[in-house]
Amino acid sequence: MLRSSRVAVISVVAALVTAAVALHRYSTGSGDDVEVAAAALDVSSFFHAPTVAQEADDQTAEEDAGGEALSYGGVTDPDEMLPQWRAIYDHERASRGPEQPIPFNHRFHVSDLGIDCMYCHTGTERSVSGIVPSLEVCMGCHRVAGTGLPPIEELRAMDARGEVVEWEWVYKLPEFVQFSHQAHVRNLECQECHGPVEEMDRVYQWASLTMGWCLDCHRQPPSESDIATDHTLARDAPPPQPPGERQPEGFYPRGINTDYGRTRAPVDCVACHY
Amino acid sequence: MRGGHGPRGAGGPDAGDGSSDRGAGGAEGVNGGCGCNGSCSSAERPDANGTSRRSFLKVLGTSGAGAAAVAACGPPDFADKLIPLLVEEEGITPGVSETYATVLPNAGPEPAPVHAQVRDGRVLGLSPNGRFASGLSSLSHSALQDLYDPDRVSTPLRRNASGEAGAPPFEEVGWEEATSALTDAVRVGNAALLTGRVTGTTGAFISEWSRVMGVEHIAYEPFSNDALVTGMADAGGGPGAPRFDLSGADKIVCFGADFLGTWLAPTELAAGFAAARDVDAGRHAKFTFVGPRMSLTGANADEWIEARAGSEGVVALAVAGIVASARGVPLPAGAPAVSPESAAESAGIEAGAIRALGEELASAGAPVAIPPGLESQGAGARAAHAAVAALNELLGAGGRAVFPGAGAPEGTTATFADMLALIERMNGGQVRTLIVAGSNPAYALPAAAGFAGAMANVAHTIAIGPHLDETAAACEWVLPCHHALESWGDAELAGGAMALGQPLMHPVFDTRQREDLLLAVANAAGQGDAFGAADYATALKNSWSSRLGGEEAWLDALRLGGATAETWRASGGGGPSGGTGGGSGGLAGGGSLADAGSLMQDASADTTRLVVYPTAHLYDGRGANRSWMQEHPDAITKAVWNSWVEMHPDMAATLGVENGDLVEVSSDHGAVEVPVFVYRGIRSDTVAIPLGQGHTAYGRSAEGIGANPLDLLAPEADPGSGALAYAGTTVTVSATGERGRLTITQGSTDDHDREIVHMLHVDEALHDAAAHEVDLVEMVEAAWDSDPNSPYRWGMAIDLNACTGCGACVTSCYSENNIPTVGADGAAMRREMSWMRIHRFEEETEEGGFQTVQQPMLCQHCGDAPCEPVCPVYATYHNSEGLNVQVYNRCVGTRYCANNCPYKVRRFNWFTYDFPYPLNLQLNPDITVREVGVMEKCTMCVHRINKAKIDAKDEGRLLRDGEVVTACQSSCPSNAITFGNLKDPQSEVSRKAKGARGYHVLGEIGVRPAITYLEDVSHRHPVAGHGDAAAGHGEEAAAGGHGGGAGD
Repeated sequence: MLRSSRVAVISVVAALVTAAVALHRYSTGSGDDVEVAAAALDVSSFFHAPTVAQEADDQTAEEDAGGEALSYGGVTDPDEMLPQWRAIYDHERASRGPEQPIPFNHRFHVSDLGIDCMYCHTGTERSVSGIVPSLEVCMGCHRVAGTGLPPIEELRAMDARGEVVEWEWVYKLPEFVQFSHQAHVRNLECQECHGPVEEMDRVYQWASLTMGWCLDCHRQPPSESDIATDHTLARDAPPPQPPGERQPEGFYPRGINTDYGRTRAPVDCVACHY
Repeated sequence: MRGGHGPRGAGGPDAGDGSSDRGAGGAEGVNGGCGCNGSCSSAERPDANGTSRRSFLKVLGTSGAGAAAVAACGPPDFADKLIPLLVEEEGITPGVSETYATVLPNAGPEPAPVHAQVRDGRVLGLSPNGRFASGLSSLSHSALQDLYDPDRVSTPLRRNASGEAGAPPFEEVGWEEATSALTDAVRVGNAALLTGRVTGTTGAFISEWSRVMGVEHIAYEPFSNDALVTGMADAGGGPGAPRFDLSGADKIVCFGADFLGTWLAPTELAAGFAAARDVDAGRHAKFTFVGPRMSLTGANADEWIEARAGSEGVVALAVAGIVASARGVPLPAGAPAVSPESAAESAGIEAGAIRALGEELASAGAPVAIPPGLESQGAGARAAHAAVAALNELLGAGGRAVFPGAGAPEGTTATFADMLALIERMNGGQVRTLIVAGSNPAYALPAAAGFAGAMANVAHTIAIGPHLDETAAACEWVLPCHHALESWGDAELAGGAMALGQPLMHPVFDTRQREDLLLAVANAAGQGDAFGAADYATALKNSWSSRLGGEEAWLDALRLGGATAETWRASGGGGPSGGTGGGSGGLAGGGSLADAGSLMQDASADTTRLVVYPTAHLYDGRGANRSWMQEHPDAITKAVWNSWVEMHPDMAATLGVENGDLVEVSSDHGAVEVPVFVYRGIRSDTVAIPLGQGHTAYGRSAEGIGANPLDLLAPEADPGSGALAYAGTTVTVSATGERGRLTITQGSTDDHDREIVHMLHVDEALHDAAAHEVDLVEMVEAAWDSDPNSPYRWGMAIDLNACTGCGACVTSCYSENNIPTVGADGAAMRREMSWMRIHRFEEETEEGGFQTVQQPMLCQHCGDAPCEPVCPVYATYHNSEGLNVQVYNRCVGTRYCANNCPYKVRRFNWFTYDFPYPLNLQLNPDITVREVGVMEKCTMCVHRINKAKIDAKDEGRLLRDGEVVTACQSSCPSNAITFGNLKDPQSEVSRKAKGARGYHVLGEIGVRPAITYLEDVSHRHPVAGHGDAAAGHGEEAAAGGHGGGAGD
């Protein structure tokens, strides 16, 4: 609803980011690859692909409605796509969740079995990372539970061999963003950022992870519980100014108005970018 | 496409550029190939086809948003998959840094007890372990880069026997083969094991192993203190190295040792030195330096008596004579009487200076004398040390400031004379097996001693060490061993404390612990039972547990990083090397003191004397393959990536040379070509060349850089102590007519009356401390975008009086903030990336001569910052907590901000600099790795602030004073840097910034910097117009308050 208009833009931005990562992959070789990279550098082509971005939006909204048959730049086979189209294709796929080496089902574990998030993702409350449980945590139950099911047998075989599961990334932030789970899990439910994980068979990137999406929350006025824990929040400060109504200070807005102490969480650039 | 023009065409017009291709060090080509050690960018690599533009595009391709710059040189891409732990360990959480205590036993002149931050299985940062150390020197800190050195030997090597032309010198072999080769070589007999300093359990283990296996153990340190130890013993001081406590002194005289940089225990001595000169506590000990050149230590002196190298002992005796007669006491027994006149003639100085020094010492309440160092260690060094010990005895310093035998044990068994004997035996075929484990004699002994040649006469040569250095490269086998951060070990510290080391990460390469290799040899020979343990970790644990009384105590020691002197002593004898308790007895005695009279030099000879000296960054050469150290400007010359020869302006004028001109320095034993650095702080009959460069092996950053002045030395030892005579060589200096490449990172040592550094006379500082006309803290807070809602205004106070200029902060900053090194070529083009640098200014004094003032310079986080309004994209702005913030992902690289910065503290990424594997493992994940086209600068460790704020929020409170410590602050041995909240009037930084000595650099331009400098204090008067307290504090208060000063 409110989100859909933004997601179109977001998808392009995210596609750019993904494309850049893809370029990295294409350019690590030598010789001809350099040419590929040079061709791919023509980023303007991304902006001539509104229909695809729009499709991406629709697909995200419709949630898992397939999409493998979509054409990208007129090509359906991913291996034959030009790099920039392939990057968008990859992003699309990722937006509905990558295939994992073990088809772990969050819906079953959370909704049906009622396991708390932090039972497996222990340590997230004190780490920058969202902790992916160790194989030992899996085996805590699966030494007994699920015996005979093929994925569980595979898991047990890995345990016997002393191997770890190499999961595919679902949520990946650019390197210039410093995110800390520790700072967020105190006052937020996991679902506020990760979506209804308890309803997901295969986890996908629910949120856009764009800066605007982050700031939507950071810009909110603080709640009573926020003020109770964060002493940098001003109790009697006026509410934050809506974007667009800010007045530049002095002849030049050298200080970016960060609404210090008036928002729920810092909206200062350096809160996340350093 | 910014920066897309030819990578070599963009250099500035500085002197370093013009003749770069003729660099004396032969630096060209060092950085070729892919393994660039962060010292060149992909686009800068030599390319035979001249296709640098294509490779430039390639760089851009790899540097898309979010693609880590770390992935360039083909390391495993860890970020590709999400890989959890297999088994969770208690206390280890992915993404959380844990701190462990350990020790770097051979990091530099002193063992370095450290706290290491370990995250996700990698050691990311070091800080001093406050229980045992006051600071962490640059050199010790750079051991971290050594751990991830891409040039480390990654697997056992055997010399390639094929003899084919073009075949690589070594071939890789398995560990089984390598260990059996070691075993066989030991079995041959007549074996010698050559190590560096070993103390504690490690020392005891190696001695025991040598005894059991019938191997001769030789522990040799090139910069050992043999002359000091023997000289002190002669003066009745007892065995072992002394410990100096300067904190209570009111007069310090140093007879040449570089005790703030490279001598004995620099961080401990720097802390004591700062305490003795703490003007805020109402004291400031006058410091006189006697020596041929103003070293890092000499530059901190209030007075310089420019005595010839080697004459310091005679001067000390003459001074002792004056003290004795002034106090009406006899000279210590055995000390010959030397008249000030004859001493002055020998030292080439005025007799008046000796008299004045003697009278000052006689009238001082708690004076102390520090003996000569390596620079002046010649024949007669032992007697010179005995003379200074006698002076200390006369001054009553024994038991007050000098504690004989209480220093960290030497841990060596061999002097230079012993090494000469070893070489002779090697040449005579009496040594059939040579195992070199932790020493590099082929580099560190004078070439004329002939160690490298003697190695050819040894049947079996085996190196056990992490690097393919000069010695290892000449060996038949190379067995790579763990770095100290991957090893078990311990080291004895000064005062009888013991530091314990533990492995902190999985070994980076396929290496083994050195002691475990030795143990394997013993086991193969059926002698393993003698050690009662299957591996060294168990042996170490058994030794500590039995001494301290059980497993619990062992775990405690591991947690704390060792045992304090009290604990260790209380646990009784029978320890690794017995009691090292501090003696506090008298120093009186006879011994070789009588020889001191013979130190008189022939003053008439018209010769040029050579001084070779260790630098704080390269030391005996072990720092040379660490790009942090190569790119760390020298404390005096501010030169990087080369050697140089310091000479007095008079000599330079005679030779007709200036900075950067290439001269040949030759002696009877060899010659080196080095560029000139003209320096007023050296005698006019002396030239000085730093040690540590001129490597022919060791790795990409070391090889071919600079020259090794050891080539000029005679392989002669001081007959008294057996120590190598570093001093006493006479040389001929001649101009070659060519330019060398000497990259000097500081444009001028004159601040052109801009009052960048302030100097205050000690009387003013102690007695006439005038209050500020303007409260500097209020002034900063009054900046127009200061946010009243914010409880924090971050600021810093830097005490120039405490700062010695050692540069520990600079290395900390490199380590913490993922700052790349740009290499010799990049530095010559002024592209160094350091966020922090140390200025060295020479302030003229009324007494004549100049006073050096060292000043750390970093982003001033101005309240009204000139960089901010010129940024077209708001990539730099002022945040509500007073930080001047740089947002990398917003920056488009106009560089307007750097042009508008009055402090030149902003650095631009002209390229995406590589961190070749495994150097990328050291990168701090809390900090973005910057890419081409991005401006960067000091952030005041905002990641540490943010982390501390998150923790404080979890506890529902504001940050406490001292909770956030910046990286630079953490390693400073003299506590010169204070960081904190200026809005808190009780915070230490507020208190210091409001103090009478506070001033802002370039305060008159009104940018309201958040960094307040505290004026340097000297016992000399700055010439008029400098350091006037009123002018210093005028600042923005009165319009034009500084205008007069600037126009002088």
